[in-house]
Amino acid sequence: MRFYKNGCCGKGANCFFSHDLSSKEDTVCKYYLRGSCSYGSECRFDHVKQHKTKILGPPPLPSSSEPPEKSMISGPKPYDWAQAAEFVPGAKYHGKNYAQITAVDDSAAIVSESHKEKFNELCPWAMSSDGCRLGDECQYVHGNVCEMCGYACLHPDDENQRLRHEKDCIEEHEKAMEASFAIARSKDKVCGVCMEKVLDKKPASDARFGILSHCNHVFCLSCIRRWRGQDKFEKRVVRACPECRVCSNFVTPSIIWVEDEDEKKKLMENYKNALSEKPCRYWNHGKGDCPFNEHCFYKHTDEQGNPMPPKPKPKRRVREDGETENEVHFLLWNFLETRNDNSEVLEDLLLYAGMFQDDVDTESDDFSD
Amino acid sequence: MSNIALTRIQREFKEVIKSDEVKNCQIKLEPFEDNFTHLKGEIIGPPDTPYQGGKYTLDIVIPETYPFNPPKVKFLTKIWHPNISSQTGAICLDILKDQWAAAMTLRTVLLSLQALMSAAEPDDPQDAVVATQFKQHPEIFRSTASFWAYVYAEAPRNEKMKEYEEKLKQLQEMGFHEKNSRITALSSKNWDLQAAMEFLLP
Repeated sequence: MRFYKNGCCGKGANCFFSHDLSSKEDTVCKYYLRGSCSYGSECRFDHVKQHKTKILGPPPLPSSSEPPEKSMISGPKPYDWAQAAEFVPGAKYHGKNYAQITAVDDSAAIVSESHKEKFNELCPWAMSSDGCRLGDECQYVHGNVCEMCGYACLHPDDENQRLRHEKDCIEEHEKAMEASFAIARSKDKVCGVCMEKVLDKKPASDARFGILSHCNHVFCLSCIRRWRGQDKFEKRVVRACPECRVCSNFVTPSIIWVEDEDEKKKLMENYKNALSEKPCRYWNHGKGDCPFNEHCFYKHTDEQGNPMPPKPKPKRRVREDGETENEVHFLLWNFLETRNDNSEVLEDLLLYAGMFQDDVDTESDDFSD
Repeated sequence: MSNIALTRIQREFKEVIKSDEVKNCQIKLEPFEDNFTHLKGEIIGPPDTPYQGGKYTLDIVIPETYPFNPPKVKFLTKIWHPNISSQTGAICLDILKDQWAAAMTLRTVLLSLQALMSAAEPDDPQDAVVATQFKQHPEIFRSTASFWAYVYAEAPRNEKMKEYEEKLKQLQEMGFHEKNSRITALSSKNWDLQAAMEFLLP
């Protein structure tokens, strides 16, 4: 309509707006009616409420023959859509239901009051790096700029929010510092096998550290895994660190270099936990055989996801006549009726048994892709 | 040659060249015809050993799977040592076989060989004849080793060598013209002229 009046509407007959010059222009401020006009007394539209009943009055029933109940059930009518609340970027969308539309002026005033309260929140755009393009027109509060993060995140009226934000900000900052220290620490670490800087390796999937559990020598994941996978050497040779020959049972992948005992422990714990969520390919829901059996880091469950006990390992022994035969395997469980009641004792027993199983392969790392 | 082997050898080269051992002329490393798969190493006979002052050249072949497998190293310079073949120069050293570690470098290999020259392992011999002599006649072993160092590795001469040269000359006069065989025969037979002669006769 505005373009048409000025003789420059390019849409002609297809225009969504009325091209009827005889119709009277609606000069009532829509935002004022909703109680959220930020121009206040300087608004160029009328801030009056008498038009409201005319505009938002109860729509006439489309047909007198139709029962009113049915029209209520049949959902919004096309004229309802036309009266739907306008979407204003930066402002909250407050769609009105039928009752609100048909309500009298007094209730509209109450609604506008409650809106004012809701707008006492921080503007999410202003808190972002882009900033709020509405500036002062924005219906939301533009907070004070936080010195730590540089964003308008501090609510001018809410001290608790400010304190909370500052605390979060400090925590965030500490984390960022730690991360940058970790990267600085990792940046120049050179793999003892390929002699390249681990983080400079290409492709990016190769730029990972393989952290050994029992020593602090630097290797990239691919090199240390390849070394440990060499079958030309004895197990104890390849499981030893190529630098110091201290044996480690498994390798933990990490994108940063971790040397601190506690951090390393945490890293390995997280890694094991992550692996224990994945089903073991060798175990294959009990259909396959996993050489690591109960020592495997991966999940040994049946198809329904229930944990399964380890399989008995047939042990070979050489008979007096020189032939080898499978030893009959006795499971301790078979002789114990109450498994759970004695669990503590049993754990000790298992630990004790584990002491004699140095040759049992606890390395399950090589299974990962 | 795989990418990792090549880049590592090139890096090792830089490392060796900068190392103190090279500065002190203890070890040397150079490629054969600009080919990094085949290298020539050199170590100096360590002090307080019969090899002192000798220059020992080594043939180093880098396998495709380096550094996950050890380089193939042998002595090109003849040496009298229980763990090194006096005939072929083959070395018996655990780190070049089953005790290799991927973080070892050519520099550490050369230094290990130097250490092997100072501390022989006669119980894990490569050359049984030398090992036997080492255990039963340590004096003869030492003088023989230093004679070999003098003859083959440009080590300095000493008093004992006159006697050995004399025996070599006698053997030559008997018609044994091949110098290396005469030295090997006399060394193996603890410089017993009669035994060496029988050893050389077909």
